[in-house]
Order: sequence, then C-alpha cells, then structure tokens
Amino acid sequence: MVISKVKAFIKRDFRIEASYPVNFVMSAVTSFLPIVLFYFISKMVNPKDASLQKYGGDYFTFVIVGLAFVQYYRTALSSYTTIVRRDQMTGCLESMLCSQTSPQAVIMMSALYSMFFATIQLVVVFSGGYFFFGFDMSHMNLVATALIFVLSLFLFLSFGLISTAGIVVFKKGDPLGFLLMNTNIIVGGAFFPVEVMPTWLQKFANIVPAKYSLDALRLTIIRGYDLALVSDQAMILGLMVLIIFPLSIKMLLVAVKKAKKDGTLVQY
Amino acid sequence: MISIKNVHMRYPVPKRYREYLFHPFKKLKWVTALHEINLEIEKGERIAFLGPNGAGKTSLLKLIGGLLLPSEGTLSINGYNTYANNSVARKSVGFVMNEERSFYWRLTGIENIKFYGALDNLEGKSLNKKIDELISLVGLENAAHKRVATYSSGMKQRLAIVRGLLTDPDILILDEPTRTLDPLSAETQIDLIVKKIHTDLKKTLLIATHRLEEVSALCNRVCLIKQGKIVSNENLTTILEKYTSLGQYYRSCVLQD
Repeated sequence: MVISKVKAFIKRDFRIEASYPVNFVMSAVTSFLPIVLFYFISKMVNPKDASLQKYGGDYFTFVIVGLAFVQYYRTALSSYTTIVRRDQMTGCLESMLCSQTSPQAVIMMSALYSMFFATIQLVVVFSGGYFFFGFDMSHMNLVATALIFVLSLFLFLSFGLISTAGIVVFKKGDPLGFLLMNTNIIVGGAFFPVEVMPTWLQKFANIVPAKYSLDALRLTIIRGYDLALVSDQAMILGLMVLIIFPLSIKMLLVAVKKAKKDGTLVQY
Repeated sequence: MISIKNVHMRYPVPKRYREYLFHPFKKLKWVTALHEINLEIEKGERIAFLGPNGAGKTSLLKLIGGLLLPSEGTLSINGYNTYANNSVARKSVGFVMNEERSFYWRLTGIENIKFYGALDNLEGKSLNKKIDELISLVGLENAAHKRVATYSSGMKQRLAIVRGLLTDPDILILDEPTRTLDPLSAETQIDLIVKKIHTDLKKTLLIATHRLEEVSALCNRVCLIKQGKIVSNENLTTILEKYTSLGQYYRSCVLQD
C-alpha cells in the first residue's frame, strides 16, 4: 500500500513537471552550469593552499562535492514547504486530507519527486565533472560515502519537516528554513574550507551539520577514507539524526493537530 | 449514523505582524463559527444545509468530513469519534468540494482520480474497475483521458463526485454542487445526485447550498444555520405545510431575531 502511494506521488509530480517540457529540460541543464563556473574559478585558486591539503589540494574537486550536496540538502530542506504551499493554494491539499492517508504521510510523501529529481541533478553534477572536467572519483569509498549521505539526508529532511510544521501553523514565511539553509551554505564549508573563516566563526561552525557532512563526504569521495576514519563525523551526524528526526515527526504531528483544531490546516 | 452533540467550533483570528512586534504576548482573538450544534442524521437521509454566507455550513460539513476537529463537544460517524478515531470515521465519508481547483489541471481526469485512489488505499485492477464504473456513472467517458484544464465547470464537479465516491462511502457531502453550473447542467447534476447516487447507490447525502429550488429536488430535510447555530431542522414536507414556499421559510428563519 505504501509503495503504491509512493509511486502515485512520484508519478503525479513527474507528469506535472514533464507537462512543462522547456522547464523540465532547463532544470536539468541548470544544475550543470555551476560546474563550468567553478571550473574556471578553480583555475585562480592556489592548489598549495593549506586549507585544501586535507582534501588533496584541488579546489575544483573540493567545490564540486560541496556544490552537489548543498543543492541536494537545499531540496531536502525546502521541498516540503514548497509543495505543501502549492497544494494549499490549489485546494488539492484539502482533497488529499479527505483521503485515507494521514496528513503527516501526505506531507512527507509530497517531497518524494523533488528528492528523486535532486538525485538526478546530483548524478548530473558528478557525471559532468567526471566526463568534462576531470573530476576524479576513482578513490571513492562507496560504503562510507553512502552512510554519511544517508545520515545527512535524514538530518536535512528532518529540518525540512520542522520547517513545514512552522508553515502549517504560521502559514507565511519560513525563517527557520531560511536560517538553516544559509547557515549551512555559508558556515558549513560548501564553497570554501571552514579553516579560512575567522576563529569565532569556525567555533560556530561546530554546531552546523553541513560542516560534518561535507567534510566526511569529501574525505570519503576524494581521499577514499573508510568508515573508521570518518567515524567522528558519522557519530555526530548520527546523534543529530537520533535527536532531530523523532523531534521533527512529533512537531509535525502537533502542528497538524493544532491546525486541524484551529481550522487553519488548509489556509494559506 | 451521524451523531453531533454540543459541538462548538472556534477559529483563531491571525495576528498581524505589527501585533506580533508590539504586543507579542497578547492573547489571540477567537471567532465562534459554530455554537452548540446538536444533530442526529440517519442512514439514507438527504439533508440540505441552508444559511447566509458565513453562517457555518461549510465548517459543519468539514467537521463531519473529519477535516476539522471540534473545539468542544463530540461528533461521531457510525460510532467512531472524529477526534479520537479520525481516519476510521473518515472512511464512511466522501467529500465533494465546491473548489474546482482541487484537481491537478496538468493531469488528465483519470490520472487525478488514480492519484487520489492511491491515497484511499486502492490500487491495481480494483481501482481501475472502480474508476471505470464511476466515470461511466457520471458520464465522463469521453473526457476521462483529457487534461482537467480543458474541462468545463460541470465536468470538474462530476469528476469531484467520482473522487468522493471512490471508497464507496456511506455518506456523501456535497458543498454547493451546482454553484458554478448553468441551469441545464445544474439539472443534469441534480438528476445524477438524486437518481444515481441516492436511489441507486443508497448514499446518505449532506448538501450545502444557497439555491432553494434545488433543495426540494435534492433533499427531504432542511437544516438552517444562522450565525453558527442551527435555527431550524425540519422535514421538507413539514416546512411546506407551514409555509407557502421554501423562500418564505428561509426569509422567516433568517430575518427573525
């Protein structure tokens, strides 16, 4: 039953997106463009820079991992709120809530296609880097990369659910999502190493999940580190998931129940 | 079948940003949408909910449909409380919204219904069979594979009926089913509701409407709501014995203090 619902949500959004063919193609192409941009920017960065040595010294390799995963995390964080809001405005959310699927399941499954499409974009970024710009993935430790990726994904999806709980109750504005995303991009080391920031900002980065996620992913993809060598980052991410994932589900449940009681669930 | 006891429904009035800024701890204001609602509905009834705009008709129907939860009181459907057993209670109710936009316009009618069918735990051959039956019941065979964007208002309303009947619910709620229809389409719609949905499929019908002429065609009982309270709840025949017309009944109930 769950699988047919999952398929139904993915099919729905795929068909809607594919019905706008130009936009569909553009979305895929757009994810490729930053690779070109950063390839040329990387030509200006000194490969002997101390902050890059940990990751092999090549800025392009460093940034492509940050770019690919930050795009992915952004989708995980924002897709719930975007789709829930679209369905609130079209009136489709109300119809879905009349069905035999619980409101929280409707909300959680709403983001499936976006995540599926973001996975394609991730593959496009890595393939583009590999085939056209010499991005080296030959050392990648697949098991360690997959584990860090799954932990990070759960973490950012949890943040997305918390942010959606806020939207369900407060309707407009998503200050939490905005804050989380921008903090993770700027302080988490997506486009430059955390070590180049002032000391006080580096201290602040210690509570930012992207720092651990991107650091571990770079080490497993670029340097081929195994799980034992990134166990610190994996444990911190795991601990964050253990606390934040159940909390996010609880917050969403409370928000939906409150909105149903207040009669504001489908208001926007 | 449906039992509503002392139900109250209150909505919070959203604060403006200015109020959040200057009076962050000021309590929210609440508006009472429904006040002390008591109602028993038996299987097979056809009830019209009448009342001025903002009287609380849609709120009451949404409460029965399990989309809203009462602030006070209890509401049960086939013995299941909508607060404690929301999803079980909802199984007995199909909701036909008056919001035509509640479909994905870029998808075809069939694609929309299949999506909502999956959410109703239907799948495979049983879902396809059900859809075929219902599409043919409402006469949408020729349009089923066209995009909803190309549908007329009447077609969207009929598609909404298909969606509402997918799970074969005992009760069908129709919120202003002929609101956007021309007189001929409205006639066809009324015919469909009374003959096929009520008589053939034996559904209990709860209909919110503003059109008095369709009340006598669609319903056998009238529940008049004014300012969140039920001010009259009588059989159609009794009403027509007391008053010369439904119009006179409506005016006398709505205009009295």
